[in-house]
Amino acid sequence: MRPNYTTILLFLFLFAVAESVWSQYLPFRTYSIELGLSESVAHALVQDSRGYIWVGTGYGLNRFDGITFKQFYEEDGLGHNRIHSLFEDRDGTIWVGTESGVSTLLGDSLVTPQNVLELSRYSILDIFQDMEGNYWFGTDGNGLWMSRQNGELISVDEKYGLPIERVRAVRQTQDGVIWIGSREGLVKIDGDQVDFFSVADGLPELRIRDLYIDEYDRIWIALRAGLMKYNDGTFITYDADDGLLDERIQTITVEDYDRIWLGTEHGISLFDGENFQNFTREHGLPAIIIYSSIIDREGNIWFGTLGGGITMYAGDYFHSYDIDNGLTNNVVTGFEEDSENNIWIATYGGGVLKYDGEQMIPYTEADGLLDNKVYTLFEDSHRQIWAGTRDGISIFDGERFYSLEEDEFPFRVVRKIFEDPENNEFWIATYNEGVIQLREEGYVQHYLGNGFLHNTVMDIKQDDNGNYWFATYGGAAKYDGHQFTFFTIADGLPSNGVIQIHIDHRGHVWFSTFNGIARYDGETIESITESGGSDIISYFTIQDRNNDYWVGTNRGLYYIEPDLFLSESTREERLRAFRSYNQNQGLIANELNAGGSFLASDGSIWLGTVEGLSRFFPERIRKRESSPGIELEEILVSGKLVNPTRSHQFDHDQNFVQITYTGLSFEAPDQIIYEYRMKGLDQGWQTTRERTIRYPSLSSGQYEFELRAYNADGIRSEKTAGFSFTIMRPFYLQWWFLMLVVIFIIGLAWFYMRYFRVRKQVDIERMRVQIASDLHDDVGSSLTELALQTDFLLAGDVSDEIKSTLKQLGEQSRKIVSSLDDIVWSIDSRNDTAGDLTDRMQDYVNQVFANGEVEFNYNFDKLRMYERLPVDVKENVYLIFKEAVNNVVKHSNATKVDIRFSFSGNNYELIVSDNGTQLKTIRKTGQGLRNIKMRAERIGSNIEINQNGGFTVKATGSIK
Amino acid sequence: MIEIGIVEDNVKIRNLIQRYLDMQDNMSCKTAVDSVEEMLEHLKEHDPPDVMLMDIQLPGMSGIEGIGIIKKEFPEIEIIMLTIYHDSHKIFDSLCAGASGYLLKHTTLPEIKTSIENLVEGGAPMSPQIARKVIEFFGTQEPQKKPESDLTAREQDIVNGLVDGLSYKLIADRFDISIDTVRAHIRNIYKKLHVNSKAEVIAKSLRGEI
Repeated sequence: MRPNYTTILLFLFLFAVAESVWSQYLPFRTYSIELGLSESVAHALVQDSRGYIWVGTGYGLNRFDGITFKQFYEEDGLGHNRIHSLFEDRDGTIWVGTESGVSTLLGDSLVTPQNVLELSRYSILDIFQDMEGNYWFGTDGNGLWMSRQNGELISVDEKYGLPIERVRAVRQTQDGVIWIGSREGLVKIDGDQVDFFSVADGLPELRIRDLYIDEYDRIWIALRAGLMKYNDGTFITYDADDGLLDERIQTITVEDYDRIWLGTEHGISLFDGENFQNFTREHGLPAIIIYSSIIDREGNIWFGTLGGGITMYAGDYFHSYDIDNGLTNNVVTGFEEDSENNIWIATYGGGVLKYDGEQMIPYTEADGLLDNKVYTLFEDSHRQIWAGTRDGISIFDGERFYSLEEDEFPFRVVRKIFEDPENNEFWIATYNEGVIQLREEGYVQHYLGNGFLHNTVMDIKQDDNGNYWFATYGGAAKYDGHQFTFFTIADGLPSNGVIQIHIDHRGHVWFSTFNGIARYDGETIESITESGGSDIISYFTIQDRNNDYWVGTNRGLYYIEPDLFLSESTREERLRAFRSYNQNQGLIANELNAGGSFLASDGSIWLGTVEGLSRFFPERIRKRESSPGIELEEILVSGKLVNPTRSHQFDHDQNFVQITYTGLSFEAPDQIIYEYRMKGLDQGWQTTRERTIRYPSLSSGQYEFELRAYNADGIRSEKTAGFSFTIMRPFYLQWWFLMLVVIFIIGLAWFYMRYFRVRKQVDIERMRVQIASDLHDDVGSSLTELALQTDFLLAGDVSDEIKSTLKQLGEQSRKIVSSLDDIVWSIDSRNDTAGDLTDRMQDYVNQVFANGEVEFNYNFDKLRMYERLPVDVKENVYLIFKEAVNNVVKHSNATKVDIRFSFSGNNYELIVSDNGTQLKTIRKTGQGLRNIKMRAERIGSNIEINQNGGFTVKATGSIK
Repeated sequence: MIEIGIVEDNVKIRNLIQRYLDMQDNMSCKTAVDSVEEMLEHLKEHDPPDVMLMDIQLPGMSGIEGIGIIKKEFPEIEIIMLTIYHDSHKIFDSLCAGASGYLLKHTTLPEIKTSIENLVEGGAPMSPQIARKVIEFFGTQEPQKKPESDLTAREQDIVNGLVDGLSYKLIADRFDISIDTVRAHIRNIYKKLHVNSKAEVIAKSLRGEI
């Protein structure tokens, strides 16, 4: 909403007249050392692009987020704790001009850029970046310096031959012209053209303290002798004669074309182009020497003061009074506007005051008032002011108060007076004696004794249908002229303690209770409470001229949107239906009073509190349309600080995440609403007013935290703050570990199988060797002995018959040993390769055909010598071979035998073929061939026996 | 007269062989003991025999070990291994240790006698199994070994022939030499086997492998 200029003008007029009598408190909100500012002298102010307000004080740099100050000192790298100037460049870097040189903010610490180290000897009074990107540094006593984009630092004084020493301000107009304000005068640099303005050029005074070039390209110059405006080539000066509070101007901030704020050494002046509106301590300024000023993005005007810290001017929608500027008592209980538009004010202990727009005229017991503790005021149809006091009713006749006689009205504590002119009767609410229906001919008392709801009656209203509504501490009562209807908690009231009743433009009845407000639409009662039904005491509900709803509570004044409230369902969503105007916005106190609300005919709402009254101008409220900033302040993961600009991975037990953040809106920082969501945990936006969120035990997964802010007027931040991170699965849930486990288990199973197989094999081999060894030791030796014995006997002198027997005996023994040898050989695991087998075959042939009468040809070309053969295969192939060779020996006339054996590792083939054409002897039994077949069968081998043109035995098979 | 010693733990076999050999006109067998240790004791005080028959499986020191020790001190003794089984691994190990030949125990006594005579005359038995091991052995020898310890071409031929399963006679026929020459060659091969085996042991010990 745009400021209403006529209102302001009217106000200014009234103000000018009333000034000598009283001035009202305005919404200046002050932050000083009590709230964390490093020092109460604020030399410089700047708002950065993120939204923080930076305060350069006489001792330390402060970053303000609306709630807390973060401080920077020399130990953080600041050139000097005494700060003179602040500037944010186009890259968003904060430049600090200190008592000794320039510092820039880099992360959480300050550094002095290398190229401006030279300036560390000087106080830096102003820092500026021009359109080309050059930095200008105004020093105290050493003129103006400029750091070009290439880093080169030059003295502007030397370059242009300027005589300026103390440079307070460097600014640039939209056409690129540089203006310099110094103690030695005003300088204009337009390319190479340098103009120097001094007294001769119309300056009333050389010592310039500030320059401000507004968006209309007007140059405002702060002098020690007033305000000077340079526009279209002419200088105009404004001074005390024009109404300027003080001619020593320190700082200028232009809010709008006709709102030029001036900080002086005696307070603040607001210049509209013609007139000055002045603000001093009486208006709520914490100190009168103003050093600095800015306008923030929301349009709040900030001033840095000497001794009072910083103060923010939110707007002039609250004008407040207390005993220091006109009231007789701070506890204001009621208001009434008389037919001459005077506002009557009831105080609890200070009697009554009449405000005629200029003065507040008190009426007390001395003027006939029954009691100075007044609860309520009422102008009757005869334009008489009734005052309901703690001790009965006083009526003002224009001069004095007279009292209703005891017999006429024998009741004391009067809380509300209501007239029904048609019926010529008054309804009077009392604190202890019910409601009194007062008529010419007497009264009727409605109280507990005769069936009324409660003896404490706080309010009386009449709706459009003529029904009376009574607020009592036992609920609400409705009287339709014949009977009472009562509404209590049982009917949906949030509390039986009903303090006030309001009937709105739609005819709905609003109950203000000790537990919030409720609306009755004729059918149901709906509670409307911000806190979801807890302890907020609502003293009254009132509508302004635009029918907006305002609720007075023990926590300030609330603007509510009932329709929004009723359309939302959760407490958090309903938060947006409430907007508070409290002490932060300029209300004199948050504890309002029952009955302390009144809509005056001019649209202002008078509010009574326990610490004075505030006159509220709802139509002057300017909604803050600029979006608030949103910044993550601190992220702690299981106690460890984390940088939110990177993404992170945390161990599975690093899962306590605490996020602290700030929404940057200064008009009502405590009313910022935050929306956040943790993608990966919950997808929906959550709403809160808290500035810290904790996730105590996040399970492993990927997360993205997102956060945005709404200012008190519901404007959302442009950006969404956030950071993403991953909480790792514990190693025992990670894929590689699971793989390892699977592999391990498979490996273990494999190992066991293999181990047992090998062990079994080893056992078998050991057994084989054992058997072989036993055969060797026992049977073999004995038989050998036997054979040798026969040899020995043969060598002696024996008969031929015996000789022949002995010979047979020896041969038989040796044959057995030989067979035994075969068996031992075959089971000896050292002889398991194919090569061992062929060796053995050759040995056997050599042994049998020692005389060489048969030619043997061996073909082992396709034999893999070192491939192992299974014991049974080895043994049986050898025995088949032996049978085949024996066959040749015994039955054939062959002269040539071909032996072919091949083994590939899988398949083997043995071929024994001879060229025998006839049989030496007749085969009798075929025992040999049967043996061959039997042995082949044992190892699953195919046998082919061919007797055409020689004798061929072919055994083929494969090992399993 | 061929002086013969026997190391054999089977008393009956030992006595039979001793008595039989001692009965021969050209042989004398006075020494027949149980173990290598006993034989070594005996050799300290007596003249060494020309030929020694040695069992492999013996109480105490094995026959193969015994060959090494006896051959070291009495290189002139020809040692013939006596074994029940045709165990080519052990036989080859014995040959490497310095044995000049081997006999199976079930060989008849007259054949034992002939073998000793053959040996003394310079012959030696070699089966295809042994021949194959000989080829393997020389094939895997270190390349820098001394030239005289390598097999000559003829020796190689003979070994190859044996591996092919040829009898001494066929080998002799094939290369047009006498059977005795074949035997002499084989004998020589055994010597080289022994030398190279020792060289190999030394080389291995120098390399730190054993």
